[in-house]
Parts: sequence; structure tokens; C-alpha cells
Amino acid sequence: MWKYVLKRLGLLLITTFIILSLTYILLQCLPLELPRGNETEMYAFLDRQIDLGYFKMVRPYLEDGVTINPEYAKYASGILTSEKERTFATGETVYYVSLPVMVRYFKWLGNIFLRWDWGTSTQISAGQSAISIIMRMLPVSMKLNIVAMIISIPCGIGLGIWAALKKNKPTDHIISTVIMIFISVPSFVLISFMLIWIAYGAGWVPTQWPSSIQASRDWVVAVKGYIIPVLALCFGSICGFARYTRAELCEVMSSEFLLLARTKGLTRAQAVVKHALRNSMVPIVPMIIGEFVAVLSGSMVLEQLYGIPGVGYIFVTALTAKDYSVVMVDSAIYTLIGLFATLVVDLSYGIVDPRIRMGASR
Amino acid sequence: MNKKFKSILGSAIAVLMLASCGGKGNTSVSRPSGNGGEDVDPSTLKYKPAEGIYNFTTATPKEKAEILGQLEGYAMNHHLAGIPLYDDAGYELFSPRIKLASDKYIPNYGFGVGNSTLDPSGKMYGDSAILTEADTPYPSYFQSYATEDSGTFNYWNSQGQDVAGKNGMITASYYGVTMNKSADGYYWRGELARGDDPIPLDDNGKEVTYEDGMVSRFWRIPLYTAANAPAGRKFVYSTAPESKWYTKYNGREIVLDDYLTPFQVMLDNALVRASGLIDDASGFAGASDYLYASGQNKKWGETKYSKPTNDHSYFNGVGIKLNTTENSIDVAFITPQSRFYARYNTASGLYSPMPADFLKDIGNGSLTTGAKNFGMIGSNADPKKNCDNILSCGAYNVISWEQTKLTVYEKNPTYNMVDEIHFEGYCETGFKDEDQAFESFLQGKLDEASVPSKRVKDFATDKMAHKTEGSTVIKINVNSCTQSQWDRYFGTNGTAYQHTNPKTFWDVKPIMSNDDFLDGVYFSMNRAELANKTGHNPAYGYLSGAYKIDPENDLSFRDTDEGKAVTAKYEKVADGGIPGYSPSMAQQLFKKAIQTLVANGDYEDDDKITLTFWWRKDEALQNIGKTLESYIETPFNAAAKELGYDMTLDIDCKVAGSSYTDAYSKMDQGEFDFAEGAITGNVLNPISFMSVICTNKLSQGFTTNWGDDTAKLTAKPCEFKELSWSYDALYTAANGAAIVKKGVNVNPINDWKYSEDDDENLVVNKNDGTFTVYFETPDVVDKDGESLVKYGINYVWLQFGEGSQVAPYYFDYTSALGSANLQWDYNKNDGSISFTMKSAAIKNSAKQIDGSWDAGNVDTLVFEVGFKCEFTGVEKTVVGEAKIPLAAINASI
Repeated sequence: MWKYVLKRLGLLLITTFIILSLTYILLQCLPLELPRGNETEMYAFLDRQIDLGYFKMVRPYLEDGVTINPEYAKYASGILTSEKERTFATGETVYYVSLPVMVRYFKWLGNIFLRWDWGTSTQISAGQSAISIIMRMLPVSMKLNIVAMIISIPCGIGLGIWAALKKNKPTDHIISTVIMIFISVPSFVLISFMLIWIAYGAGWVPTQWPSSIQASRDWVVAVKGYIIPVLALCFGSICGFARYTRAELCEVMSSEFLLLARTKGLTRAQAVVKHALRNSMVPIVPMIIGEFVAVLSGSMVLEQLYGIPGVGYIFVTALTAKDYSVVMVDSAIYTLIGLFATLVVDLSYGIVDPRIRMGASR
Repeated sequence: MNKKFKSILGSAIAVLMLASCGGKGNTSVSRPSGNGGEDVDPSTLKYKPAEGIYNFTTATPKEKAEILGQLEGYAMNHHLAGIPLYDDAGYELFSPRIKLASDKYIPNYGFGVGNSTLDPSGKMYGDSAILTEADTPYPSYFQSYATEDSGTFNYWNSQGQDVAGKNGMITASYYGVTMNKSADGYYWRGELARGDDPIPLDDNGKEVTYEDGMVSRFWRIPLYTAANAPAGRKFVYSTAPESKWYTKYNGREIVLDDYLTPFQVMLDNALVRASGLIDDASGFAGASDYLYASGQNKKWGETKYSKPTNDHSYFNGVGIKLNTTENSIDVAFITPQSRFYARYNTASGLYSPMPADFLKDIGNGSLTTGAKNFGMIGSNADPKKNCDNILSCGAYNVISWEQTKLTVYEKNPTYNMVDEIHFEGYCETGFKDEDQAFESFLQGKLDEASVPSKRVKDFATDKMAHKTEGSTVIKINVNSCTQSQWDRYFGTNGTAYQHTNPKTFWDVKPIMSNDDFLDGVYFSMNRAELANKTGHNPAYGYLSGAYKIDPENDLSFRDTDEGKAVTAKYEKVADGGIPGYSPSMAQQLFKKAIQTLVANGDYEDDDKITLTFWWRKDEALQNIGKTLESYIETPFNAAAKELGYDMTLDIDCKVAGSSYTDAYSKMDQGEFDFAEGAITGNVLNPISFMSVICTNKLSQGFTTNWGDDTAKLTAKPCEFKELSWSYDALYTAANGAAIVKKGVNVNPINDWKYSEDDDENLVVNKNDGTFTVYFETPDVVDKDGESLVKYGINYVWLQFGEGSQVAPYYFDYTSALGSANLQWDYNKNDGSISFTMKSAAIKNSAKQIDGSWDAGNVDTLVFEVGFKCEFTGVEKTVVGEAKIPLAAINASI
């Protein structure tokens, strides 16, 4: 088992490495967004790129003042591209030349592996370490998603059980219809409607995520602040859980072993709780973990709309502002959470269903 | 670049061409023939080109108005001002619990919110309930909002739009403005400074009596410190209660040395705002030398200037000095300043005192790191513990900061004017956009909000609405470049931006450089309708009414005769009584443009012309985009039809990108036909702001309209004092001092690089073992042949190089000047400056370089001179550099 876990962890790191490498390379292929307006700031930005090893400064001439610098010749012939020309007070002109994407990539890897330096923000919080920005935002997103999961699991499974027990009756039809509606409607539509109706219209809940200082002073405000985002995140999950639970439970309940249990004298409730439910949970439990990842990614839109200062909000903001260092750290977080969730899902099969053994030899 | 290099790369700058935009008709606007009328024959001009040295910084307000009128008029005539639409005036709503100090908007001051009062028991907007802790953690604080949070208060090193405002809350300045007793204006007074005005000094630093109209480069600002604080006022710092530096710095007294720290850290580390310290118009003498010698250049030479880095002994050369005897800061500007501008240019939160030890503490012992870390948000999840990098001596203290969510400012009890602070604090809530903030205001959660453009109709008459005056003119920015101009600015070797890949070159449309077409666009705009739609005021010129040509007397440039003259010719065209609007004239102008363009072969008579119109934000595009399209297309297509042509015009409006700055990037890089946008400047120094029209480095990247080269003399030049000027020459003379040759601004010293084909600037004297290096000057002389520029030498640095590398250190030969080793001279005959040096001295220096830089390997000498150039009372250092292969002087060694 442990050998299997270690092997999976190794694969997980390799997969993360490949995903982040591809993301980095593709992002670096996009045009560079220079700060505009103030020359000094622009040059400070370019100097930071030099510090990070992604750019270098090239002078047209060697020190004899006549011979063309071979590096500059590369730029002039189009092998290297210059993002900006700069003329110093001394009259000397130099060129900020971006290094080839793969050179930048290896520098980036070097910065991470040798100095654990993931770069600094260049736009949204200029000069600040990208990791510290994400670490400040991560707890908010995690808290929100955990609360959403805590609520959606019992609700979803409960609804699924109820629908299964009332199979083909009006209750089942109503539940199934509502589930289909909420699965079909995109979450941002739901969020918008909730904002209009219960926040701006009725004024029952805050129109945007309360600040942490306000939430810490008044727990009612804190709880109210969770209502819209949690509902928005829950709807999809609840529907998903309910649909799967209903389907699994219906199948189990029509199985022969459950008929046997009933013929042996168990009540319907006993048969359902002790036998049907447990068996139907085998695909549901791993789904819970998978759903957590889905909810986390789904919260990106929500965080933007409701002003929640989480990693989803910062991801969209950083991507829009072309703040690639922050995007990369955020991507790393999402990738790791996603891959770890997959690992936990796989391991959970063995816990839920004793017949399944991970990594066991034949 | 030398000739050799140019020939190798084959990248000679494109030849300037006159646009062929055809003849002019009977429009009411007179213009030069053709848009690209550069490099004009001087004999065709009304006045002869300016020649000599000029400095108009001490001009009277009347003369300044004339200059500004010429600059703005030039920009309008050459389409470099774009097509003005409306200003950014709007409506502000305040909650009923706020009693404003002034219900009338005071230009450049506002409603005096800081002087207003707040009744915590008062109701919010719409008579909603009283604000409670369920709504906000501090209901008795002023509830404001922000749509941007850059995560820093560090104004020294940030360009974020929100940072200046944030920084103003925690800093104090030498001088500030406050509302007058009648609440209808404001006045200046000392805050950190003792007295309301700086004191003029003579060249020796002695105080002189101020007289009306006096200008001087030297001013003294007497300062308060904790040691000389008057009764009832404190001069100490404060921190957030939960800051980790609370014990050490809360209550720490302000001392005189703290006043120097901001200048030093900005220059030492080339922080963003250091550019203001070296600006000719408002900067300080010697600051440029110090800045460029203090590390900014180290990236390309690594250690070229390493010696002076953070070595404050070199700061002695900067015109910012503490005077411990007078307890003052004595400043030497680059350019003489009136008393008003001496005060205005030093009245900034940037210069608020700062203890260097605090910066070292937050920089883990490094002043450089501390200067960059200052004001930056912490990474703590608890917002009250995120303020460690902030130290306040301003009106408020930051006690809690959750980026993009909520920033809480609390009244600083030790602020030196604490009695004048009316609010207990501010709660600045973050919102995604103005719309969201406005909704929150309507819900009674905020004390103030701006009315979004699309809701102006509903709220303009609201009893809580207050009309503001605009300071920025929103305009259609125009790319009126001809192909050759575009190539010059934006081609592979572009002077403004280099498009390295020809595939990304902008498709320049000939119609955009046609004067008639652009005039037609101007008169097709119904500004009254646009203003009504957006809640703003119509605008006819480049500058709004907020720009003061005489700030001391509150005189707006727009109210002067010169200001009125610029726009009069546009405003007098008025169909239906709407100034600047005439669809019929627009149609006639378009007709002429079409005829010219077809006759020139630029277009076929059945062409469909598509012009790209970038917008900053979708909101504005949705609001008025279609209207603008229709304004231009309808008369144009009607004109084509009238001519019997099938030609059609399609204006393709689209948002430039996900961020509003994308539109500016398009303008910055010449990738547009039209673009909506605006630049805001210094409303109290409008002549300085006019740099944004310049099509070269003077603009510092703020140019949004492109066309004729402002460095050149055009057929319709600026005219002042019965002389013709290029735009740049008049602008430079008005903001400092300009050396003008043939109407064009030139540099006081020319750099050069040795080349075998062009070696007249180096003379090797084999007989006496010396060599002479010559630097050329513009040779501007008076009638007696004496140079009008007084040249001096601040320093002479020699540097040796090998191959592509720069020597790890340089030799300071300044002290050798005048000795047998190094002589210099100004040659009256040709205006050149020569340096004669003993070759043996070079050899000795080269030998001192150890390691791999031994004498045998050194092959290049970089001869760098800091010339002190004095003219018309202005003193500035201009660096001249000569690169010489040692082989060329080897014969004399």
C-alpha cells in the first residue's frame, strides 16, 4: 500500500511538473505587458525581469565602440526580440532583450528549485512575492469550499435517498426535475439572480463578501456573508450527489441481496440503512472528493462576482492583468489540489469497499 | 550610432515626407497645407525661426497664456490633441449624515469633504436606517470606497492609480491647502514648514527679501521637528496598534535627518517617482547626476557606477540639503521658480519625513529593501496585522487592511494638525466597479458615491446630488501619421516603439492623415448630446477649465483671451445653436477629403474604408459607441453618395482588451486609427503638462495622438515673440531653458564614438605625448562671439574596457583637471570643448587595474565628462561621453 502511495506521489509530482511547465511555456509565448505611462516604472519592471533571468540588457557595440556586439546582432537579425530601447543620461542606448522562451523556462525552474523563488507580482501587487499573495488568499477559498461541501454532502445524499425511496412517485419526479434544472443552469446565472433578489432586492444578505474584520466582529454578518456563495457552490454539488445517490440506491434496492435481507425479516428501514446505503456509497464517497475540486474551480466566477478575496479571484485578476508569476503559483495550487484529490479518491475506494486493494500484487 | 553601424544594419531612419493631402477649401478653420508639413522652408514662415537661448519660466501669466495658447493651438491644428468630446464632470451623491463644508464644487479642491462633518446618528441615503455594526465594523467612520487596491502605500515606487490617495492619508507635506473661511475657495499654508511660504536665497545660500514676481533657483523651507514644535502641535510618527513596530516607532519623534531620507531612497534606488526629482521644470540640481550614478545603470555595466551607490557623500552634489543651523531644508532647483511654484513643487507627500532606521528595520537591515517594502501589505490573514510596513505622520493611521476588501483608517491622535480632522476615521470598502459601489450607496452603506454615466438621468436632480467640474477632457485620440511618419515612430527602429515583426505593423490609412477628414470628424460630433448622455460638459479644446495659468490668482487658462481664441474658431461653427457641431460642414469637408484621396489614388471611388476605433471600457462603448459611429459614418457616406461614389466608411468600434490600459498600449504603440481616452495632468502647471503632446521622449510615454513630429519646424509653427518655433522648442523654453537653432531645440553637448572614418574629434600629439578629445557644442554665441552657455566641468571619469565587458571600476580624474595631466578648454572659434591629457597618465591608470584587467588586456577608453551647463539662470549637468580605442592613442604612449 505504502509503496503504491509513494509511487502515486511520485507520479503526481511529475504530472504537476509537466502541467506547470506547459502552462509556463504557453504563457511566456504571449506578448509581454509592459507597465505604461512612467518610464522609470517600466524600466523597473524590465529590471525585475532581468533579476528573474528572463531578460538581458544588450548594448549595440562592444567596448571599442565600433564592433557590433554579437548579442545585438542576434537581436537585429530577429533571433532575439527587444521589448524596449533605453537611452541613459550618458547618451548610451541599450536594449532590453527577452531571452528565448526555453531559456526563460530553465531560468524559472532554476529559481524555483535553487531558491524557491516563484517570482514577484508585476501588476496586481507589484513587488510582492507571488507565493505570499496566494498564501494570503488561499484560506478564504478553502474555508468557503469546505463549508459548501459540508452542507452539500448531507443535503445531496439526503435528497437522493428520499428520491430513491419514493421512486417513480410525485416526490421523485419533483426532486429529479429540480435537480435537472439546477444542473442545467450555469452557476453564474444563479449567483446573479441571488444577488439581485436576496442581496440587492430584499437586503437579507450582504451585497458582497464582508471584510474579515467585520465578520470577526459580528458572527451574524459572517454567516450571512456565506449564504450566497455557499448556496451558489452547493446547488451543483447537491444535485450531483442527489442524482448519483438516487441512481445507486435504486439499483441496490432492486438487487437480490436486499430482497433476501427483507425476506429474512429486516424492516425496510433496516434493509436500506444497513445494507442498501452502505453498498450505494462505494461510488459516492470518491465522488465527494472529486466534487471538492470541481467546487474549488467553480468558485473562480463566484469570487469575482461576490468580491471574495480568494485564490479564484486572484487567478482571474492576475490572468487579466497578465501577472504571470501570480498565475503560475495559483496554477500550481490548483494543480496540486486536483491531483491530490485524485490520489485520495483512488485510495478511498479501498477504504469504502474492502474488496478493492490499491497496489496489491495478484 | 556611427555611420558604420548604420550601414551594416541598413536601418537608416526613414526620410521625412510631406503628406499629400491636397488643397484646402473654404472651411472656417485655417490650416497648413497638408498634415505632414514638417521640415518647412523658413522663408515661407510669417516669422523667422527662433535662434539662441531662451528661458520663459519667469514669464508673466499673460505671456504664459500666450505660450500655452500657441502650444494648444498647435496641437489642435496638427490633430495632436485628438478630437475633444466632453470633460469628466459628473455627479456625486452624499449621505444625509454628511454636512459638506461647501455645497458648491471648488475646482481643484472639491466639496471640502475633509472639512465636512459627520453625524453618526444621522440616516444614510434614501432615509434608510442608521448605520450599525451589522453594516460596517466602524459605523461612525466616513464610509468611502475604492475600485482599485494595488497592495501598497508606497508612492515613491508605485504608479497605481490608488496609491497617491492612499499615501496622502498617512503622510504630511511641507505645505498644504485648506478651505477658506467663506468656504468658497482654498489657500496655501505651511504644515511641516514653518511659515506659509518658502524663503528665497541668493547663490551663497543667504536669505534675501522676497519681492513680488521674484524667481530664484534657491529656496529655504524652515521646518518643524519634534524639538522645535510649537505649543499644541506634535511632530511624531505613529503606527497601527497591532504593528510589530508599535513599541519602537509609535511616538518616535521627527528629527531633521528624517526629511532627507525620502529624497535619498528615491534617488539611491531609482524608484518610480525619482523621475520627478530630475525633471527640468520642477526637479533639483544635481539630482540627475546622483540618480544615474547611484545604481540605475548597474544592470548594463554591473559595477560601472558602483562606487557612488548608496554612498551619501555623493549626495552633497544634489540641491537638497539640510541646514541644521536654520532647522530647514535648502533646495536648489534646476530651473528658477516663482515663490508659488517653489512651494507647489515641494508640497508633496513624497517628501514626508521618514526615519531611515524604520526602513532598515522593515528591509531586514537593508535601506534599499526597506525603501521598496515600505507601505506594502503584509501576508497575514489577520488584516490588523498587515500594516507592519506603514509608518504615519499624516492625518490618519492604517489600522486594518484586507486587500481589495476593506482598509480602515483611524484618526492619528498625534497628527500635527489633529484639531482640524473632523472624522474619527475612514472605512474604504473595495468594490469591483463604480456600479457596484453605487448600488451599495443606494442601499445606505456608503457616505459618498459617484453616479455612473448610464444613471445620470435618474439622479442628476436628486436632492443629495452635487455636480462636480471636470479636469480631464475625454477625446477621440487620432493616429494621423502618414506611412513614413508611422515607420519613423513605430517601425523596426521606431523612436517611440519598435515593432520588431513587420507582420505586426499597423495598416496606416491615408484618410487618417487628411486634414479635411479629421476636421469633418470634429464638426460631426454633437457634443451637447454626448454630454447629456454621459452627465458631463462639452469640451472644445485640449485643456479643461481646471487648468490654471495663474494658480495664485485662480485664473483658468480657458478663461483667458488666449485660451478662448484656441477654441473660438471651432465653437463659432454651431448648427442649431450647438457649438462645434455642423453635420452639413462635416459633410462638405468629407466630400473634399474624398475627392482629394481619390484624385491622389489613395482610394478607389467604390472602396469600403474601415477604421478601427478602440475603446477603453465596454461601458463607454455601449453608452455612446454607436452614436459616435453614426456621427461620422452618416455624413461621410452621404458625402460619397453626393459625389456619385459607392465609397463607404465603416467605423469598427471595439474594446481594446481586458484592461483599460490595453487601449493606451494601442495608442502608445501606434496601433489604432481612433481610440477613446484621456490623459490628466498637473492642473496648476498646465504648460508642464503639454509634454504629453510631444512625439518623442519628452512625453515620457504619455503621447496618445500621433502625426507630425513636434521636434520639427512645420509650415504652421508655434509663434511667440514674433519668432517661429517647433513645438518642442517652445515647450522646452517654457519649462526650463532651451538652446534653439533654426527654431528647433538642440542639446548643449554631443556625444561621439571614435571611428576611423570620422576621427576629427581625437587628436594624438606624438611630440609631447598627449592626446586631445573634442566635444562639439551647438556654439550659440552673443554678438561678441561669447558663448551663451557657460560650460563647467563637474567631473571627468575614465573607464577602461576589454572586448564586450566594462571595467569593474573607473578612475575619477576630476581632481586632475587643470594639472599637467589633464587640461580642458572652450574653443571660441568653433564652440568645441577640448580635453588634453597626458597619455602616460592613461597608461598608469590602466596598469592599476588588476586581475584579468591588466594593462595588456585593456583596449578601450571611455572618456566621460559631466558638463555643468549654465544658461539663462538654469544649471544642469549634461553628460558627454567619448569612446576611444586605446590603439588610436597608443602611438603617443
